[in-house]
Parts: sequence; C-alpha cells; structure tokens
Amino acid sequence: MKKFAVILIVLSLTRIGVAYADSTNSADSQNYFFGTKSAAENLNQVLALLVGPKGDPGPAGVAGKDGLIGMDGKDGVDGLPGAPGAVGATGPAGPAGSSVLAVAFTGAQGTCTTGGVKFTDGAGTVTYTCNGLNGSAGATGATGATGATGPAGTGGGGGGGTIGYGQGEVSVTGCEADNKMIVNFTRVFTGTDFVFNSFSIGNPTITDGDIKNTCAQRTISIYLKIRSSGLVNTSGNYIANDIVKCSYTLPVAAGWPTSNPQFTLNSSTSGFACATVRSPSTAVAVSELYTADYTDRIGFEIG
Amino acid sequence: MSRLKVIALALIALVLSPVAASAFDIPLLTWERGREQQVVLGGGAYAQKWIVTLEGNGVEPKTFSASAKNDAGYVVYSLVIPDDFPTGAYSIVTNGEGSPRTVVAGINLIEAQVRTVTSNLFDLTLIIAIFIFLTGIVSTIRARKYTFIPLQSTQILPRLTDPILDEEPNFWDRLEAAPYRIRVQSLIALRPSLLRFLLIREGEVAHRISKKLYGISPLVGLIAGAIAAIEVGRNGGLAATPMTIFIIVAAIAIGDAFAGVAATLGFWAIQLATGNITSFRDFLIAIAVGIAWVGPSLFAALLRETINRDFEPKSGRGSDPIKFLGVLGSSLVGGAVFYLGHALINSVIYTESQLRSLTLIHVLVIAAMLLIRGFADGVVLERDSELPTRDESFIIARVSSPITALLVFAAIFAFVYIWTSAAGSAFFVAILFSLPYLLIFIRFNRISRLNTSRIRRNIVLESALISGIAFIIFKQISMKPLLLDQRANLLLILTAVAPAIHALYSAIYSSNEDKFSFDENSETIRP
Repeated sequence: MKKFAVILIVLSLTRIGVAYADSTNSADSQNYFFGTKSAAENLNQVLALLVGPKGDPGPAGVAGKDGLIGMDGKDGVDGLPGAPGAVGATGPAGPAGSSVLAVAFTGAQGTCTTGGVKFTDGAGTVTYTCNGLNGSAGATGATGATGATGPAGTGGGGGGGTIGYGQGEVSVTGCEADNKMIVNFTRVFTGTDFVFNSFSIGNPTITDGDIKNTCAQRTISIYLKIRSSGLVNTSGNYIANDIVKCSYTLPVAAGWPTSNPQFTLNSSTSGFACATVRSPSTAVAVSELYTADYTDRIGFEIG
Repeated sequence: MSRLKVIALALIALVLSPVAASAFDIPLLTWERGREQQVVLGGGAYAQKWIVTLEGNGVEPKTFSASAKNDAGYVVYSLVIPDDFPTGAYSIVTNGEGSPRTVVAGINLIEAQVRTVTSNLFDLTLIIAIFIFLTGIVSTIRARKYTFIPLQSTQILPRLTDPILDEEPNFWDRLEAAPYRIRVQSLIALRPSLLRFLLIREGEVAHRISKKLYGISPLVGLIAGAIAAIEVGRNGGLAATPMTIFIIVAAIAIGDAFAGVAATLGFWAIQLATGNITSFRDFLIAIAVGIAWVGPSLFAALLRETINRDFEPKSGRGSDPIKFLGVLGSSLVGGAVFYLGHALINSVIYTESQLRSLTLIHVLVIAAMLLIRGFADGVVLERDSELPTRDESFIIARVSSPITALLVFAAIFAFVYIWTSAAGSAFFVAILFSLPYLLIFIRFNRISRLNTSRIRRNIVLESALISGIAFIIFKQISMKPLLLDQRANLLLILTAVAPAIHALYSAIYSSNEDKFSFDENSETIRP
C-alpha cells in the first residue's frame, strides 16, 4: 500500500510535468499549479464610485411675466349674527282686573272631603283648596335619664391596692380615715436566691401614706400564696399551694412613730409571726420565705 | 396605416433615446453568483449614509452591507450573492441623504465559473475553523493524560521476536489468504506511528467479525474508490458529481479506515489513468478526497478514546454516559472532517455549471454513521473473543514528525496559493499554520515559574475555543473597509495566531509534565 502510494505520487508529478511541458500554445497555456482556467478573464470587477462634493447654489432666476386676469371667485360664507337692538317704548295700560270670592266650608264639597276654601273668580270659575287629613300615630319616645343617687350605706370592707416586691400603696377602709397607707416589702439575696427580709407599714413622709392611730390595737394580716410546683425552699416549712399568713397587732394609739417607716415587721419584731394556713399549721420565719416561691399575689387585712 | 406605425415607432425611439444615452454612460460589469461582490464608495460617501442595492430581474432588491470607513473616507459595500440567485441583468442603485436615487452600474450576473474559497469569506472561515480544531486536537493530545491508548488486538501482526514457522501451505490456501496477508504486510511496512496505530485500531472490529472481511475490506475500498473516480469522469467533473457516491465510499471507510485509504488510492489511480491529473491542483483534489474519506474515521477513533478522559468517571449502575458522550462528540468531529475535505475540494475546483451542494444533511449522515460505528466498537470490542489477542496499546510519544510537519506545510502552501494566487502570502500563511505541527516535536526544559499543573487540559474545549476565535476574527474583518482579497489574506494570517499560541502553550505544558529536566527531577538519575 505504501509503495503503491509512492508510485502514484511519482506518476502524478510526472503527469503534471508532462502536461505543463506539452502546452506550448499560448491560448491554452497550462499552469503548473492552477492548470487551465476555463473561465473567462475579467470577471467580478469591483465597482468603485467617487461621490463628488455638493455644487454651489445656482444664480437667481429671471422674474416671470404677469399672468392673465383671473375669473370671478365663488360667493363667500354668511357673516356673523348682528348686535341686540335698542329697548322698545312702554306699551298702553291694560284692561281693569276682577276680584275673587273666597268662602270657607266644612264637610265634603267639590273635590274636598274634610272641608276647605271655595274660590269663585269674575268669570264664575270655581276652584277649591282642601284641608289635609289627620296624621298617623308617632314612634315610641327615648329612654328617660338615670335617677338621683340614693343615701349612703353603713359600715365598709377592705380596699384594693397594688404592691410589688419593694413598695406599694394599698387602699384601706374602716379604721384608716384617708383610706390609704404605704406598705413596703424588702428582700435580701442569700447568695443563691432572694428571700423576704421585712414588711414596712406606713410612711408619713408621703401624703396619705401613713397609718393612722385610729387603727390602734387592730391586727394587720399579710397573706402570701405559695406556688403549686417548683419551690425553691424544700425545707418543708411550707409546701406547694400553701397560704402563709403573717400577723401583727398594732400597739395602742399613744406615741405612734412619725418616721418612715412607722412599723417594720421582721423576725426580730415582737408579736410578729408567720405560719401556714392549714391544719396543722407550720411556723415560717420571714427569712425563709423565698420570693420565687409565692405567686406574686399578696393579701392584706386589718381586722 | 403603415405610415402611422412608422411615426409611432419614431416617437417611441425618441422617448427612449435619453434612457439609452444615460445607460451608455454607466459601466456594465460581469459578476458571478455564489460569491461575495463589492462596491467601493469614496469621496466623503460616509457623510451621506449611502445605501447600495442590487435591483432588477424581478427579484427582491438586495442591500449591500457597509463597512467602517477607512482613513481616506472610503467605504466598502459587500453582498454575498447566493448560489441559486437568478442570473440575468441587474442594476446597482445608490441612495444617499440629499441625493436622488441613482443607477450607477449595470450588472450581468452569470453562473460561477472560477470558484475559490476566498470569494466567500464565511466558507473560508469554516474551513479554517475546522482545520484549527483538528490542529488543537493534535497539539493537546501530547498532554500526559491522553498519551496512553490501550488496545488488545486480535490482529497478530508479526514481530521480529516472533518465531519463524516453516509452513508450506498449498497454492489455493495461499491465494485465499492473500488479501489478509497483503493487508498485514501493508501495516507492517508502516513505521510505528499514531497513523499506524489508528489504522490497526479501526480495523479491529472488522477483524473480530471475520478475518475474511478484514482481508477483503481494503479490496472493496479500492474498487469503490475506482468506481467513484469513474463516476466523476462520467459526470464531467467533480463539480457535477452527486455527493451520494462520496458518502457511500465514506461509509466503507468508516467501517474500516484501511479500506478508506485503499479507496483514496483507487480514486487517485483511476483519475491518473484517465488523464484527469494535469496540475498540482488536481493533485490537491486527490488529497482532499482522501481527507474526506479517511479523516472522519481516524479523528473519530482518536477522540472516542480521549474525550471521556476529560469528564467524570462512569456511573456505578453499569451505564456509561461519558463514553456515550465520547462517541457522540467524536462522531460530530468526524462529520466536520468530512465537511472539511469536501469544502477543500470545492475551494479549488473550476465549475462550468451549478456547483454540487455540500449541505448539513450530508455531514449529519456521516456523523450518524460514525455514531453507529462507535456503538458497534463498544459492542464488538468488549465482547469476549476466542481469538488470541496481543497488546497493541500505543503511547503517543510524538504526535507529528518533521516529515508530517513538512507535508502539512506543503499542503497548506499549495491550497492557499491556489486560493490567493500570491506565493509570498501563501508561504507566510503556511508557516504560521504549520507552526503547531513544528512545535509538537519540540520539547523545552522545565519552566518552573509556570505552574501548569494547576490547569486541567480538555481536548475538546481547548480546540473549540481556538477555532471559535476564527469566527470572531471573521466578524471583525467583515466590518473593515477592505477588498475581498485583502480580507481573505488578513483572515488567513490572523486566524493562524491562536493555534500557534495554543501549540506553544501545549509544548510548555507537556515539557513541564515530562521528566527530562534532571535539575528539577533528580530522582530520574538516582541509582
């Protein structure tokens, strides 16, 4: 195969050489590379065009002769409306007028059924003006105004109020003339959690914040509701859902303190004690009451 | 009555005489269809935004596309006149801002007679792009990941180390075995090279199917090539010969590449014997026919083995989508090589009638046949064979040789010279385009500053990238105010730059991969 290819190459080149040498006629001269071109020469010329510059404007032309006289034109359109005319002269007096006779009547007459007025003019023409019929019943009236306040009642119960961990004001009725006093709860951090430290009653430095000696020898009771689960204090002094009641009987009226606070109730206060409200009850010191264990609701009572 | 006719004719002549006088003033050109034609407008033409059209002969006017203006203010208007555009008389008409519509020339449009590819820049770009793609493959394949191509061949080609068996078969047995023996002897005569390996590789399917088919196949190819040459003679030349005969021979060559080589030789021999080879142009036509027949099979075989190395490994469920991708991609490239061969033929033949059409359908038919061949390859080669096999695996040490590079240079020079008729320009272009083939057998010392190992090679993407640049250059040149031959020359020179740079890059990459630098790779000299 390789030899065959070499032979073909040699023969081809020889044949090309012979064909080239054989073409002696200039008309069909053989080119070694291109062979004989059968096509006519001078084909596919490129068209080249030069665009000339714009020429100068030409001179002005000679004026033409006058034309012939033209024919008559068409009629024009209508003109605009004219201005209003002057005011006319006063006319002659009119004939004398005639009066109308009016007669009131009741009952049915003419076109009326419940009475009216009958008019008769000079020409004898009769016309009527009738009375109207009775109207239907009106709608129900609006509700009347609230009645006056009744007389004051006798006696009174406890009031409401707001108390936080720190200090609050409660409304008190009964022994307290102005129905208000300041109550303060202090707490202390044990290193692991907060416990109550003391309860303060009355603050004379604030208007109506003091406790009046009219409440002397009355018992102040403070109630704290213990949570239903997750207690911090697991000593057993109080258990879940307990209510702890702390009580203190106010002294006699003579010599009540005027400084703030008027009474501080803590573990060292004589006559102040806390215990659970259940049977049998368990004594609880104030410092054993964890702030995390009660339900954020405090009951207050002066009895 | 006759007097009245005479008077009427005289009046008509009087009316038409100014038109005839006007037409006498304009040039009359003869243009061929099927190529690009140009009109040059100068003298400040760009300022008036001229529109140039080809009108007349009862067809829709065609508008010339304008280039940018050059320094002298000239603008080149170009129009590709299709192959099937009606021949006849036309006018070139110009319209400019502030200027009246003017007929500036008469055109006599005729059939294409002298056809070179430089008369249609897009066709030239396609040829260049496909050639660059193939050059990119040749440049890239020297990378280490592609160098080893495994093959267990049932073709037991005798080697020097084989024992000599002293057989004495009878005459008829020897005659029966003659085709097989001739083919084997032909392969042995070739030096170990990539071409030899691919011819063996592409003959493996035929050999596994039947040894007789393997032996007879080249003979069939030789006869088919000869018949094709006779058909060309009967049809009065290549231009008038239908593509069917070339596709049939290509199908034989796809089945067995060696049969394609035989077909080329058969075609060439008959052309020579019938006196149709009389110039170097005819010699090139024979080469182009060979490219169209043998090229698809060889390049498809090469890519079938290499494309799948650039992608992820096969899936675990038995199917191998990447292998399918390799077969598909290689088939398309094979189709492109077929197109290249026939486009080269069309680029140098002289036509005196309608040129044979080379369409996408033809290319797709070839690609489809290559696809079938690819799948057949997989089925037959992976089937257990009872025949003894021998390892014919090939390591691509050097894709090209100096002789190959010289042949490529000569072929490029010859084609470009025929296209442009300018020897100097053809020589320069041939040098540029054959540069990648010269760089292939050059190996540099390791360049440690360039860390090429970080960049992954991809044979298809790299080749597609550098061939895509050809189209960008074509687009840019089409806008330049240059005449057609100037554009063709510029296109030929500029498009050669990308493959040359890519070949240089491939040479550096390959050199860095190889362990030839003892300074950098001292382990190679350790005992």
